[in-house]
Amino acid sequence: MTDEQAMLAVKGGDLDKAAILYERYKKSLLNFFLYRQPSRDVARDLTQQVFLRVLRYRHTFREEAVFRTWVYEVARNVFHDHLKTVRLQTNEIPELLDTEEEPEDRHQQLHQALGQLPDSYRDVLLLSRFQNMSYEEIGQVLGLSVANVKVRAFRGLQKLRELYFQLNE
Amino acid sequence: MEKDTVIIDYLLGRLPESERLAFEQQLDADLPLKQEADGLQKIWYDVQQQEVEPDAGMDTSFYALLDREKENQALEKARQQPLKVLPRRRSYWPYAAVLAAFGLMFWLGRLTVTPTVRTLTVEKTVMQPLTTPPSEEVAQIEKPKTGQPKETSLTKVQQEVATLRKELKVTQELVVLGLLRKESAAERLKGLQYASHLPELKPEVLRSLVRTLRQDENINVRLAAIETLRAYGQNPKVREAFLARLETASEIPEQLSVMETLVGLRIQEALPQLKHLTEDETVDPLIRQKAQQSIQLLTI
Repeated sequence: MTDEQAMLAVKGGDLDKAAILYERYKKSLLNFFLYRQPSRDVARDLTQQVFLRVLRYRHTFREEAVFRTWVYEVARNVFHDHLKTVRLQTNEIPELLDTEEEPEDRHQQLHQALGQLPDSYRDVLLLSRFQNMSYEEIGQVLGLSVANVKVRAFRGLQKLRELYFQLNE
Repeated sequence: MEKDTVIIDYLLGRLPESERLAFEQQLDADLPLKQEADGLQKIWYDVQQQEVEPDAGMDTSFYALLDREKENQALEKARQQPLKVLPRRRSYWPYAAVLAAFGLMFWLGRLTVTPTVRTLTVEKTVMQPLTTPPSEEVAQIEKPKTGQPKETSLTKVQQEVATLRKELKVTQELVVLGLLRKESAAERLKGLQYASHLPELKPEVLRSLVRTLRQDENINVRLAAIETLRAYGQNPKVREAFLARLETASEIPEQLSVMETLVGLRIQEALPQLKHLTEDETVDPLIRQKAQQSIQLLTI
């Protein structure tokens, strides 16, 4: 069963098919959020929020849509809403990735570097990495041309390397 | 620019085989380009190695969420279907089951309590005629035998039990407050579940629940907060919170739940807001219909 068939079944009222989509996408979504903020608990909650919205707004899934791009649009909206809520509650700019702490290992350094990467670059890299999306699909999610996606991916990697080395120094 | 896009195609593994081989030959001949590609490849490789595996807790939360959604869906279907007259016989079964359960519990209770009662009754028949209730019997029997010290020890035990109960309640409230502050929605839900089992809530706990209803980012938590706060619907702050939530809630299940609560608590102040919802064409038709029904129920 393809993602789209499963989602159309969910849309038609067979909610159990959402479990298929959850099993396919839980890991990639969890990591997608973990590269945007440091807390694993928050990443878990946000992943759950994505599936909640998939279920609640299932009627908005169009027959010709690609589930992978749709679900990542949902994920990006969930993250933006999360940032807004954090700002409202704390009245401060939310801390995305902790840049104050001394990094313990390369994993943390890489996390920090990704956290400092501008959204426009990070989105392209993460969508490419975690969903293996085509340039066309990434462009569809982010509203960019294929050429722009490639340029951002390249510059994003360059910037990531630069930030990573800065943290290593 | 073209070189950049070829590098990124190469790094992301999106070059056809022939082009990849050609590019690798080009890299061998161009040292700066090779260094650039190697550096980027290393960082990209590192990114790919950093994935985290989902844990069992995440699965549990998801499947709980799915069950809840399925229940909501069933409720929604039931609401939309016209009421059917069920055979009367069937509706008595739950009552019969409850009565049977009570009977069974009573019988089991009798079985476990009987030996103690019997002993006391035997002593009683020796000392007094059977005219006073059992609780008084105990006091009267024990008085002549043990005198003042026994009564004092009974009072002491009662006081200790009361203190323990009080301490337990304070601990439960602290646990609820602690859980409501947790980052994980599952923990906050647990806190609300505990709160719903407490016989009454201190103002501090109630404030925390109201704050959860107003501010929590997770809809499941907010829905559970509505359920828990419903029991405190006479509190003005809680009523205010429900009214405020009607204005800010944007998700259909929450809007439905708030409207049902407002009707259940007969909060007439909700009427202008409900009227506004019925008139707003951008609002979901289901919500408009529900708002109309709520107005009718509140104005009966």
